[in-house]
Amino acid sequence: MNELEKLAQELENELKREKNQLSLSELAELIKNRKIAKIKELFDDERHRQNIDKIFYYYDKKGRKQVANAQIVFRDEEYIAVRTEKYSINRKDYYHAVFVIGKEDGNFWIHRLEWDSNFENDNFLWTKEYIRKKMGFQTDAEYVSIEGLLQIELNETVRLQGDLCITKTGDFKSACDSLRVEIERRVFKDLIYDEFNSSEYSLLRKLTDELKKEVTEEEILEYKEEQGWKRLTEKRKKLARDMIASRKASQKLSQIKAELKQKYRDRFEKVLEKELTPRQCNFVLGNHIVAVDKAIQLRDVLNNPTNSFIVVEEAEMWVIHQEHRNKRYKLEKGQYRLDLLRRHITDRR
Amino acid sequence: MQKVEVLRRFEIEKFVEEVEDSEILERVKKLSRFATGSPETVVINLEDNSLLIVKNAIEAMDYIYTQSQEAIVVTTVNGKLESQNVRVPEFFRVKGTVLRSPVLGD
Repeated sequence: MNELEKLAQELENELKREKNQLSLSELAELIKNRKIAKIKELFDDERHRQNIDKIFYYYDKKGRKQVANAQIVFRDEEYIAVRTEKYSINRKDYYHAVFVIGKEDGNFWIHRLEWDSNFENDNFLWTKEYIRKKMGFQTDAEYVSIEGLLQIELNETVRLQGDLCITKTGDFKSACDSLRVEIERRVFKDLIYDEFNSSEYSLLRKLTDELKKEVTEEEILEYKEEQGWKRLTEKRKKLARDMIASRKASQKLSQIKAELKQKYRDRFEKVLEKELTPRQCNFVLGNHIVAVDKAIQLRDVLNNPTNSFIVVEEAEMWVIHQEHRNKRYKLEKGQYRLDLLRRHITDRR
Repeated sequence: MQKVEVLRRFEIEKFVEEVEDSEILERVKKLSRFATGSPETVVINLEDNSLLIVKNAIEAMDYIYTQSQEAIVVTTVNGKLESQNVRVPEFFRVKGTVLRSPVLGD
């Protein structure tokens, strides 16, 4: 390393030390005094630095860069919320944007909230609960973690780090029951293709068409009574025939499925055993990498993996990120979903 | 030799195949330039469900190119998640799924 590189390294280290020591209240003072260059130095990420510009400047209707009136509307030991001016080209009007700044693992972060009408209210009472609600979570992991075990209530969203959060979306039993139903649905789909060379929907339609011919006059009269119809027009007769055939077709399909399940019991059990075996599940959300050691990853209707998973027995979860410390948590049994926090997404300046 | 031993210890050599084909490499570079623009962390779900995290890499068509050759394997060992720094070949093909996320986070 030559002298120049050494000097650059020392300067970088000095900046890091300064950044680590700087508190949120000191940063609030820098915001108040519009020390823009100094504030930008505190953020490593270019995207964060761009957000700093968005706090202090906006572009007017003629596209000219203007100085924005940036006001701190909330401040405590965890967050600073800054409300600033913007101009909307689409709405041809001025509006406000709110940026939330926090500090985590020695790094400052900045997050722009999704707009809502409260941003335009000069007397709105800003609270921590409101800011968290706007970001889409109720609490931070550290508050629900007991010796690393996350104790998350049903439907509660907990922020893990940065803009990564986790929601407990279901209890263990109902999650397993619906997964079993979903896996069976997938197996039936394949079996119906193998046996009838058609989809379940086509088969149902075919059965309905066939059964329509077998609908009797008595059945139509029974349906009329059931519906409380006083008169039986031709239109209603046709509707009754369709509904009776459709009902019978559904029953027939259930019967076919039961027979298939009996015939291919081994295949069902094999698939269920394979799919219900917990394994290491890996996820990437934004620039967060998450690994859960014993879980079942859930799939969407098109069979693509989702960010939802079931923890069958207490599992360990690693959250890996370049800017944050890697974190280890434990999860209780249940169904969970990983998400990124809600943010304002725009290319507008 | 050291490299092979480290890879074998974590059994990722069965998922990582070194590639020496400059034409394919050029195609990968070209494709990844359109997709991402610059090297980034590439995350791969290996076929045994371990995670291979390759820093400063580019990826296309399941081929990975990395000048730094630095990677981390996160895998379940005796029911516990463990990680280990490993060296990977400069240009390799991988058996597994590249995990992508279009949204950048905080």
